[in-house]
Amino acid sequence: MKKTFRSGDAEQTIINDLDLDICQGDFTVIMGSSGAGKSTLLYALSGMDKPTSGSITFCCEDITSYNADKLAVFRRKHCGFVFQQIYLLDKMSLMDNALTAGLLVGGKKKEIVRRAEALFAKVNLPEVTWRKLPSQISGGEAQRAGIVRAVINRPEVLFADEPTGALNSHNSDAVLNVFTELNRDGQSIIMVTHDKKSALRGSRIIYLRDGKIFGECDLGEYTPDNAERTGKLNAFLTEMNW
Amino acid sequence: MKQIIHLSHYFFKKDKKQILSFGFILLITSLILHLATVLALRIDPAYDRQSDELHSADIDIVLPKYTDSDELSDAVCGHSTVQQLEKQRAILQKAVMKDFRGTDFELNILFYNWDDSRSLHQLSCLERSEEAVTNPVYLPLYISEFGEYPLNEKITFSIDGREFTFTVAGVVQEMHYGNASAEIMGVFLPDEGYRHLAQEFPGSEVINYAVRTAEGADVQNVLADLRQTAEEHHSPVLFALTGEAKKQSRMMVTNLLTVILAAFAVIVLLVSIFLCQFRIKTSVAEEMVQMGVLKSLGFTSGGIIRAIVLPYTLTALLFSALGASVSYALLPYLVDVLALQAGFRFDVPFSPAAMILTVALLTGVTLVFTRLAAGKLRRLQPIAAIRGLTEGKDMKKNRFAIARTPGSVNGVLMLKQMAASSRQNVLLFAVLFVMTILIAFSGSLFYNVIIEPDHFMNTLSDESPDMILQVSSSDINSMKQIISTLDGAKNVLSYSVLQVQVEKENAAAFVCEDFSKTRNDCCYEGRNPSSGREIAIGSALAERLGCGIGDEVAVTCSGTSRSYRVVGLVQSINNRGEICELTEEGFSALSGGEKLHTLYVYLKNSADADEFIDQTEAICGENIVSAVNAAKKQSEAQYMYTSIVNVVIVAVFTVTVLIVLLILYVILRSMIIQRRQEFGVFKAIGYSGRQLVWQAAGSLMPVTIAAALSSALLGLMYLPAVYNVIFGMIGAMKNHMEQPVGVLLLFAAAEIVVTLLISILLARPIKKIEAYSLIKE
Repeated sequence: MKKTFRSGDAEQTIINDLDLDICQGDFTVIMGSSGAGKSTLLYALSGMDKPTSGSITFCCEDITSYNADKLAVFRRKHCGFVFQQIYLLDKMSLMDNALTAGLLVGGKKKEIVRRAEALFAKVNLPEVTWRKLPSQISGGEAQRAGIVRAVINRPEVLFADEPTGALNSHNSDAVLNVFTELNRDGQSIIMVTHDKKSALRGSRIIYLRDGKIFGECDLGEYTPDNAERTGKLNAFLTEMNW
Repeated sequence: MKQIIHLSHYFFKKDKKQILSFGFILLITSLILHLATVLALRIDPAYDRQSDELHSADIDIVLPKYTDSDELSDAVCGHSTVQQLEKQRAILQKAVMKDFRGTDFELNILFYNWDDSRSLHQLSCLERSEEAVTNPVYLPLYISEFGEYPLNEKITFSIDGREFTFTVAGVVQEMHYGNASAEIMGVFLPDEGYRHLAQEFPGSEVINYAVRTAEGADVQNVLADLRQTAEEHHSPVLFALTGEAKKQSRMMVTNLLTVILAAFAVIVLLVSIFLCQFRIKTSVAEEMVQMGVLKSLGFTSGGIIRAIVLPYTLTALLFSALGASVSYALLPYLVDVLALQAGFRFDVPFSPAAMILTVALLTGVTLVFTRLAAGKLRRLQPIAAIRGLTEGKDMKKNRFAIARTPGSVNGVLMLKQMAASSRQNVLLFAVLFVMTILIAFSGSLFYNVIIEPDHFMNTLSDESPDMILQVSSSDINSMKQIISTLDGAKNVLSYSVLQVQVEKENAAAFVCEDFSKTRNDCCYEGRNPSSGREIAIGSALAERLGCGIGDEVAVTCSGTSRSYRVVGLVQSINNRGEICELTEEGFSALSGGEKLHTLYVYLKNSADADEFIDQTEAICGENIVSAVNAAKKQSEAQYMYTSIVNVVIVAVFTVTVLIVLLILYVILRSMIIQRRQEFGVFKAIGYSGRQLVWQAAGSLMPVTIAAALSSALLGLMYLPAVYNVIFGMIGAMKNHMEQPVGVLLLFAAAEIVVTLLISILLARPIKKIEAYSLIKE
């Protein structure tokens, strides 16, 4: 795929003839310097943005030709999103944020509420917290609520754009632990990050430079305090001049 | 100051579209207000000026010519306040104008001699035929235009069963009669035609005593004195008119329209105030951080407030001046409609006073209310604003929790959105509430003037049968019986309108065999007479005589007097309240058993009056002197009101739609700006553009429905009061207007649907918002 942006007469190519396969169950991490096209790639893959040329195929179906409404249906059924700025809906409790996405796909309200409660428990947010509004909780709690909202519809792919970028170290670890646990349960994840500690949670690292895949590294399954994995990642990033 | 202007320029650029939409609403307000002000300030003087130019008399008294004498005119001239008397000869006949706007129209007509010179009641010839015409007649503007008798067309008068056809040789403007509401009009025949008619109807010549009184004279008292004088000289007064009464009847619709326009303007002004308050408060909320920064940079609260208020005030100044100017493009059309009813043409030149008044009022109101709205800034602490610690109470509660609220998620999200926007709800409720007042008013007018016209016409007119028969048969009862058995007849009543004197005051007497069987109950206090000793009197008469229910009054007819007890007060706009009601028995005792010859025929709904007249004439033709299709006559008279009401309804709906459109534009634009990121998140989650458009539009619906329905239902309470005020102004103490719940609800429903459609249309830009671009922001 190729993605260009036009500003007046100037045209800037962000993604340039990129060819990539993502496998089910992988925890794919996209890294690269600023302007490498990481987020652009992420949002194109998730159907939130369209490539200028080329195609994106999801389970044998070309989503590039979808119109806006069809892409919305595609996103609600198959994708979950975790954003760096979290973007919880500020006039709703955490539970309502989750249900706003959960009830969109259909199903019985009671079942979806139970599923949301289970997910809040899984990300370690007690009832007293998920009844609160986003403005009344910490950033880490908000991001974990964001993850609940993202996975409530059991999406095939969870997209995360710098999910720990706005969090302190303690909250970052809590969020990354949730990601790891979800991935262990079979959740496919594609995450953009600059953070080596976050990248270490991934099973496959893709490094972008000037809109192209500059390098790729297979880290295998995450285990905590695994020096071999850390060394492998360090070596890869050194090779990428990171 | 320079810095404030720079800041003001920034605020204007930021809110350009919304300030301009506020300007458009002010333009509409200014347009309507200026129309009302110009009408109020200009038409009355225009009437008086025209009256002065044509040297109109203050009092007119019509007497039979054979009773006129030099002694009488000397006595009239001898009255202390009479400055000028001019005697004008004419032929008085009750005539039916054939094909008057497609029907036959019966009226008392004074045929004047065109060639007689006049110093009072002069005529201004508006149009004159350039070719020689046979049997020429000069018509007043009202008859020519409203009756549709243009220049060189034929007009036929049926007098006593004989037809006289003339050609319209000219159209004149006069301020003497000129309007059907006065029950009498004048037309003008050249000498030959006049003499011919006088020969045809010997003894029908009358003298009009046109009298000018001294400045400040009490015209009513002078008229009473002159009546007394005429009586002392054995001269019965056939008709008497004062300048004020003529003016009231001619200016009735103009005055009504002025009041309606002024009320309309006030309502739209209220809407503009709500709008500018909402916009400023929203703008302050949106720019809270920037306001904090400005304060921390050293701007004073007063300086920031002035910078916010300035664009609104300048917009108000510009657009109100523009609206007032645009109104001059509409004035000629409005004036044409009014001129048709008022019976005189008038120009409405530029009115600096009206312009200054309108612009100053609107700009002043804007200045005051924008300052009030921006006043919150004075209490704003810069650091709290910068840190975003000034969120409203809307942000503190999770209203309509999705898990506990029944309904689909889209429905609950609409409710959540609605609950989160109290300021927006207040604006929308206030605007739609006041707009529904207008809609309910036009809905009620629509029902009472177009669907059930009797309600409106019965308020303005007297008894209104379907057919009026003048019969020659002395046995009126047998005629009544024959007619009542005819196919289509519902009821037949003996009902006559005669002239009597009540305590020496001339009055039209409505004489009926049984008032309980009439269609239009004119009694607004007490009851109609039911026995030979009872009488009901008109409001003006009661006031003049200083008597009320329970009092005894003497009624005189043909020299005989009899006493009656007043049992009720009745209204008659046509006769300006100078009427009384007597039973047939009561009148018979007064007139020495004089037989009445008029039958009022009421038909079943399905019956056609024309066919019924043919049927009646076929059976009792030899006994019928004249048969008038009163239903048709009434429906023609109704035409003028119907067309005015149609204009009002279309205007109200257009203005309502425009205002709702502008208000929704401001609300939805604010919503889209404020919630841009939120919409992006919704899209990222998987909500489609269509769902979000419906969500945004739907969130306005609960408030819309509440406002429209509550205002429509409240209409049941406030509309009678509104009608009482409006009709009270023209002397109708009782009105027959009804407030139909169904029609009010229907109009409210139409407003709800229009609001929904406009909201959907205006929320469509949400579809174009890309989730990705929002996330990037």
